[in-house]
Order: sequence, then structure tokens, then C-alpha cells
Amino acid sequence: MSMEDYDFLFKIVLIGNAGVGKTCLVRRFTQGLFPPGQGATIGVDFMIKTVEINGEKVKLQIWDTAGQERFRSITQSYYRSANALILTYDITCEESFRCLPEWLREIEQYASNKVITVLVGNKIDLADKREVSQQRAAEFSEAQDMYYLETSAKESDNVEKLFLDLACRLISEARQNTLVNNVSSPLPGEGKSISYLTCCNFN
Amino acid sequence: MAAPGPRAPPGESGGPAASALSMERIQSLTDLADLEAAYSRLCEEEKVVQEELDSLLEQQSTIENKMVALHRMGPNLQLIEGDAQQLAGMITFTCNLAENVSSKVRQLDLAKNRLYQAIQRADDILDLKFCMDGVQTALRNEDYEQAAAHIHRYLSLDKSVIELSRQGKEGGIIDANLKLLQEAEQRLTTIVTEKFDTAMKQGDLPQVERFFKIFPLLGLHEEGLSKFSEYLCKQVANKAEENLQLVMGTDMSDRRAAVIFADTLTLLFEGIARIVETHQPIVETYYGPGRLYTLIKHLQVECDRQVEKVVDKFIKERDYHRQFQQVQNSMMRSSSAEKIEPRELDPILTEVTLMNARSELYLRFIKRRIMADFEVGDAMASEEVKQEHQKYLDKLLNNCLLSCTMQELIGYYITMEEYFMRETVNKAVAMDSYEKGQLTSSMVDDVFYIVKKCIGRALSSSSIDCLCAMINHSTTELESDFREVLYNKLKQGFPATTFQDFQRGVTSAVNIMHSSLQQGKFDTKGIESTDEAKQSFLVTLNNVEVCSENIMTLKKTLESDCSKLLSQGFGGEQAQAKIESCLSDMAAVSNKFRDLLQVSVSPNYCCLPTLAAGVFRENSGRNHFSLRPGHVWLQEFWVGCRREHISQLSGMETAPARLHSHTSWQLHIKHWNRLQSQRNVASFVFTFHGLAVGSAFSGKEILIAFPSPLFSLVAQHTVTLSTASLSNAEDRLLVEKSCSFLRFLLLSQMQIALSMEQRTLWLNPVSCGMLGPAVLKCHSGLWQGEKQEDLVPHVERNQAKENILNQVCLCTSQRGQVIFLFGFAVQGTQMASVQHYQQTLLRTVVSIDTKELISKE
Repeated sequence: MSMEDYDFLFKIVLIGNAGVGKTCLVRRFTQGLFPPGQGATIGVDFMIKTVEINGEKVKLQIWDTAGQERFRSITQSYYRSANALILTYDITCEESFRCLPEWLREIEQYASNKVITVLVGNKIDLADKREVSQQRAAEFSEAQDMYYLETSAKESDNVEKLFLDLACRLISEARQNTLVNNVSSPLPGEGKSISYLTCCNFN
Repeated sequence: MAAPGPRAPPGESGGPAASALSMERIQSLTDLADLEAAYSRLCEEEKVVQEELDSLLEQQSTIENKMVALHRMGPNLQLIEGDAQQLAGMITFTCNLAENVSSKVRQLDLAKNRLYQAIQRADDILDLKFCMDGVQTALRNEDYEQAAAHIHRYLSLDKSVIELSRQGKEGGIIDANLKLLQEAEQRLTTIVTEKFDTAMKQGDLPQVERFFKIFPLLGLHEEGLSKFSEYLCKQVANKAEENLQLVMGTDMSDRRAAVIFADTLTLLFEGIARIVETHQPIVETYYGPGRLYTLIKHLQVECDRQVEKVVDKFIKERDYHRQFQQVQNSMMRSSSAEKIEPRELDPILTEVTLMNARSELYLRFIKRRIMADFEVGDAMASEEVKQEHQKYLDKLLNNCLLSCTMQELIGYYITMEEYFMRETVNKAVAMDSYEKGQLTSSMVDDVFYIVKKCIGRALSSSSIDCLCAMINHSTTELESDFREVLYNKLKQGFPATTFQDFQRGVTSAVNIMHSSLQQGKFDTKGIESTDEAKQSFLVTLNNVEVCSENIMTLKKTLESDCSKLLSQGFGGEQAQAKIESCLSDMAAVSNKFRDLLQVSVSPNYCCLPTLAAGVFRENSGRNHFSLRPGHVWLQEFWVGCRREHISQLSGMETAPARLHSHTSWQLHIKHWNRLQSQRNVASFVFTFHGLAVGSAFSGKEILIAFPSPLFSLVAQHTVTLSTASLSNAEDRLLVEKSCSFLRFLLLSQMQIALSMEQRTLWLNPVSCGMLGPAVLKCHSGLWQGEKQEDLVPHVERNQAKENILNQVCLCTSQRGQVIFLFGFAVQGTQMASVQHYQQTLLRTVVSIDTKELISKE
């Protein structure tokens, strides 16, 4: 597939505390792998996957960021160009959930206001170690006006759904924007000029 | 029953039963016909039997011959039988013999093997004895190498053989020998360790190396490497300590003072690299390949310790954390009171990137060395082992304190560099200056110099992530902050001559125009007041465009710089893709700047000068108008802006010195013909401030300019051509065409204005006259939320003049939401006064002959 062979291109950035499974989510989705004993991500990782949604090729550029504090200034620089952010926490780790407001502040500060944010509770395969109830997370996401989903990168639960749903949302968002842009298009010669001919008669 | 077949076997047909007709049946026959039939059948049967008998008799002689031959064979068969019995006997014998032989061979083989084993064991026992003796002697002679060699021999013996030997008759002796050997081994280990320690303490390298070589012979690879590393680490530590002391004593005026910590790190790394370089051959020779990893792992611990010291010192001496804190505070709060001066950060930022660059270089060196060593060692290893080793290496490189410390420093650096960039750019914008004759102002060059410098510095850190982060920040800086600055300047617009000017100017405009026309040139008096603002606007437009170009240039430069870095092996496998993605984001900003140009010259901003060129095409006899999108606007725009006056266009002024990238598009009226040669271009109409102000027809070299009453600038310098003054019908037709086109143009603008919910649309009374209420009608439907009845058109006609030029129409919304004035309107002007100006304006319309105007050239 050539580089330009797509209808849409979206940037998705994964953020969240260290060790919540961001890299595993990305690997599972892009390569179908679950690498056990995954080391901490250094800086940012970059993966591409092209999916087809309703016959349209959607290229997803996925930026997998390091959760560790010392990489924050690197990861922050990617927020602004992101079309979507996947804010990840670990359902077996209360701490990773408690940090979410802090992450939201970062999003507020650095991301574009049009960005779509998805809250993802990962590691549902470790149900017996759950520390964050689904209801609590759902309430939180609702209050913050975010989409919410629980996944397991290990069991591949909801991983496809997460990215594909997100792609669908991004497409519809992109369509809306184009529509708005077309209406307000200030450039002459674009679209409407022909219709003027009908309301004034040139001979 | 059916009659028997004629070929029944003759031998068996002896009895009367052989006939198909039994005797009983024949006897029971009474009918003559039946009897006759039976008789005839019997006759037939007899005939057949007769024939068979004949043929059998014929065969008799043949059979007899065969019988004779058979009789003759009898004795031969007896012979064969005898031979066969003899053969069978022989085979059985051979078989038994073979069986006997092979069992003997098997026994022999077994015996041979046992013999070998016996010899081996004897050898081993001899070896053991020899080793034992040798070790004792060697130890006595302090020939540790020899002793170690013996121990090595002993250790490489098959343990099961030794075990077996102990079970033999002389087991006792061997046991004793083994015990002695084991003791000797332990003693040797102790001695070597001790001697090594002593040598280490004394810093006696030859002795250290001597004993280092003995460890692997004793099977103590790990211990040996660990001990040796300990020695090497001590050397590293001593040297580092020395260097750090030197740092503390460095004079601030020293040439390298600003990067002294980077230099110290460099010395440390170089030292370790040298050690690896020097001692790798010994390790390889005596410990085998694949052991370098262990050595470096130990060394790295010391390296980390020393790095920590240097970095701690750096942080303390350079006040790194406090500066970072201050930067962070400045970025958070908008208070400018305690903002840190960006220039102050300059040296420290350079030093940090240098430090990181050195670290990356060092880590890359280590990585290459270990990988090469593993490659040799794992040549025969399974894929799993190879991956395992790769994992070890990654872990070492990623988790070492050096990496973490540097990542931390770079993390701070990025924030500070971002601050540095933003503040410096702000300064450049604040200090923006423009020199006459220049096309752009100072801030463009300054801003790009700064951005280039910051990205360049990030690049010099050799960290791909750091570089990408700075590219991202630069993209943000250019796209939002800097673009905002330019956008705001553009929004102020090309200075329409102020309302006051207008009031003052309208009456004088007529005079100026009269006098100008008489003198053949225009007087610029009265328009100077806005010169500077106009210049500023034009410079801003140039700035925007140059920015757009600069971004692309910057992207290209960075691409080649990055490929250099990547070709040196820095960055992971995704480095290239990451950089490409970040750079393409940056390139997209270039287009956003370009869009700014479009927006600034579009009717979206009524206050901006929009010199639009519509292209009038003659299309298979039917007139077809279209407005070219995008670039055509710009190209023509330059003509208008640079020349500033339509009149100058007609006056055949030479082009300004240089027009950015549009040079080839300069529209010279002088070269009108050349333009016309582009076949389908037949006419141009110029608009200014959204007003159609001029129309040029190529064929006749006629320039028709329409008065634009709202802007005295234009009003002063435009002339109106009335159709009445045109002498011939052809010219008149041209003007009419022009007007027709204008009408189209105005409609377009109106439509756009409506869709943009623009409050006010400036229109030309001349053209409005042509539009009339019909236009209103046709567009009122588009006016959402406004009923047609709400629109109150005021149409005045100057009946005295027959031509179409003197109509003005004015339309306002009663709800007051939309003020839509055809003809003219001035923001803030009372409606009552509108009519007044209208009257005034109409008087400014002057008619002249176009031919006269052109001949003035």
C-alpha cells in the first residue's frame, strides 16, 4: 500500500500512567501481539495501521507515549496535533485511576479543543485484582464527557472495538468539519460561482 | 429337459443316460410322429458321437509320442533332486558359519570399546596424577599459570570417569589425589584472588592482567570479570574524581567554561571507551566471545555513579532546577514580573544538549561493541538465546542511570527550550522593524533564525525524541502564536482612508483629479497619512508569504540534517518515521500561512483590500464569467497593492523592484497584449476593498475605472467612463460587457457576504445602479430570518442622466441586525447623513474619454 493510499489520516495519542498497558494495547491492535514482559517505553513509539471502515481506507497514526514523568515534556508536544487521545488507566491499579484528573489537566492545557478523548480501563483479564469499579469509571467519564471502554490487551477484548469505534467517530467528526468549512468558504470560484449565473442574465 | 449339447465330453457319455431321451421316455412314446421325432434325434446324436470318436482316434499317436518322451525324463528328475538336497545342505552350513563370525566381531568390538575406555580412564588417572603433581609443583614454584592450567585440565575431565575410577581397586589413591586436587584448586583460587586484590591495590596493571587471565582457567569467568571490572571501575572513578576537581577549579573565563560539564562527561565516556578498547582483546582471548556484556555491565555501574556526580554538580553549579522552575512558573503565570530572561538560558541549553549528545555517542559505542561481541559468541546459538541477549543489552542501555538522568535533563531542557523559543520570538515580534526598500520586516528573519536555532540545538542533542518534541513545539509556535501575530496585523487591514479623510477628501478629490488629469499625473497629496499603515500591511503580506516559504525551506533543511543523524545510527527503527511525521506537520503550517494570504484578500474581510481579478472568457460565443480561485486573486492583488492605484496601472508604471514569487505574474498593462495571447483571457476587472474599481479590456486597450466613493484614495484616482462618451458602438459594447461582468462580480461578493453573515457590504454605486431592486429580490431569500418585507430598499434614480451610472440603492434591515447598504454606507454614520453623502458622491463622477486617458501615456 502506498503512503498516500488512504481517505483519512488520523493521529491517535495514547497517554496514561506508566505500566497501565498502553504499549500492549497498541501492539495488540497493530500487530496482534501481546508481548509479555514489555519494558517501559522510552519517549514515544510510533505505529501505523490502515483499517477499512465502510469501504474507506483510514490510516491511523498511533503514538504510544511513555508514562514516566521524565518523558512528560516530550509526550506533551504531541498533544496538539492529535485528533484523538486515548487516556488509559489500569483497572487493577487505583493509583492510575486517581491520576486521571491530572492527565485531563494536561489535555486541557496542551491538546486542541477539538480533540476526542477516550477513557480506557485496561487489564480486565485480571478481574480478581480489580480496584476500580466499572461504575466508578463510567461515572467519571460521563462527568468529563469522555467515551469510556474497558479492554484487555492480553485477551484482545475490546481492543479492535476501541480503535475502530474511534476511527468511526473521527470520520464523522471530519465530515462535519468539512461541511462547515464548505459553507463558510470565503474563496470565490469555489463551488458556488456557477449558480450566480442563473440569477443574473448575461447576454 | 433340453437336449444335451452336441459337444458333450465323449468319455462320460457311456450310458444311455447320455442321450437326451431316456429309455423310459422312448418306451412310453405312443404317437408315431413323436416316435419319428425321437428317432431322428437319436440318429443325430449317433452321428455326433461317431464324429467325436473319430477325432479321438486321430489323437492317439500324438499322445503315445508324448508318453514316450515323459518316460525318458524320469532319470533326469532324480538327478535334480539329489543336487537340490546338496545345495540346501551347503546353505545351512554357510549360514551357521556367518552367524558364528559376526558374533565374534561383536565381541571384538565390545572388547575394543572397553579397551579404549580403559585407556581413557588410565589416561585420566594419569592426568589426574600428573595434574596433582603439577599443581603441587607449580604452586610451590608460584607458577600460577601452570597450576591453573592443571586445574583447568582437571576441571575439564569427565566427572563420571573420575567417579568410576574411584570405584576401582586403587580407588583409595585416586580419592586422595582428587582431594588434593580440590584442595589445590581452592588454594589456587584463594591465592589468585588475593594476588589480584593486592595487584589491584597497588595499581599494578601487568599483575592484574596476569591474574585476570587465570580466573577463566579455574572456571571462574564471572568472578574474574567482576574482579577485573572492579579494578577498572576504580581507575574510572579515580580519573573522574580528578576531572571533577579540575572542573571546580576552572576559571570562568576559560574557553570551555560554558560547556565544562559536558566536557567532563566527555572525558569520563572517553575514558571508559578507551578501557573497553584496550581490554576487549584480553577478555575475548581468555574468556571467549560473548563476555564483553558482563564487563561493560560492571563498568556501567561505575559510569552511572560518576555521571550522577557530574550531573549533580552540574545541576547545582548551573542552578538547573531553579531555572527550570522559574521557566515553568513564567509559562504558567502570565505575570511578566519575574520572567526569566531567555538569553540567560542560552548557554545552559547548549550545554545540556552537548551532554546528551556525548551520552548518546557513548551509549551507541557500547551498544555496537556488545552487539558485535554477542554476534560472535552467539553464532551457533539458538534464536531464543540471541533474543535473550538482545533483551539484556536493551535493558542495560535503557535502564542505566545514565540514560535515565539524561532523559530527565532533556525533559527539563525541552520545556526550557520551548520557553526560550517562545520568548525570543515574542521579542523579535516586539522589536520588529522595517527598512524602506525591503520586502519583509525584520521579524520574519529573526523568528526563523530563532526557530532554526532551537530545533538545531535539539538536533545537536542526538536525541530523536527531543528533536521531534522541538519540531512539534516549533510547529505550535509558528502555527498559533506567530501566525496569530501576522493574522492580527492583517485583520487591521489595508488602511482604508479613514472616514475623516473621506469627508475631507471627497470634494477635493474632484479637484485633484481634474488637476491630475491636466498634468498627466496624479498628485499623492492627502494620501500620505496612511502610507505607513499601507506599507505595514503590504509588508505583513510579504511576511506571511515568506514565512510560508521559509517553513518549507526549514523542513527541507531539517530533512537532510536528520538523515545525516540517522545514517550515523542514532535513533531506533522508528526514528525516521517519527521525524517524517513531525516534519509533515510542520510543512502543513506552511499551507496555513498561505491560507492566511487567501483569507486576507478575500471578501471575508471587507476592510481588507481585495483586488480581485475576474477572468472574462469568451466561450463559444456565449459569455461566461468565472472567478478564478486562490492564486489568481493573489497575483492580481499584488498588482493592485503594489501599484496602489488603478490609475498607475493605466499609467504604465514600471513594476516594483521585486515581488515575491509573483514576479512572473506582474500584470503590466503595457504587456497587455502578451497577456491576451493567453487566448481565453479577454478581460480583467479589478476590485478594490471589495469594490469593482476597474475593468480592462485587452483588445482595445481600454481601461475603464469606476469610482469608488468610500475610499477617497480610489475616488481621487479613478475616472469614470460613461457610455455616452464613447464614440463608437464597439467600444460601447465593451463597456457594457464590463458592466455586466461587474454585476456578476458584485453578486458574488454579495452572496459571500451573506453567507458570512457580514453586517456591511460596500458596494459601488455605479454597479449597484445596474443591479437595482432585482438583486435585492433575488438575494433576500438567502437572508435567513429576515423577511423580504423587512428589507427596505431605497432606490434613487437620477433621471436627469440617462446613463446607468447614477443609481444608488440602500437597503437596511428594520430589525437592525443587518445593515446592508447598496451604494455606500459608512459604519457609524447616521442613516440620515447617508443621503447627503450620496448626493455629494454622485457629483464626483466625471466623464472623460478613455482614449484620451490612454494617449496620456
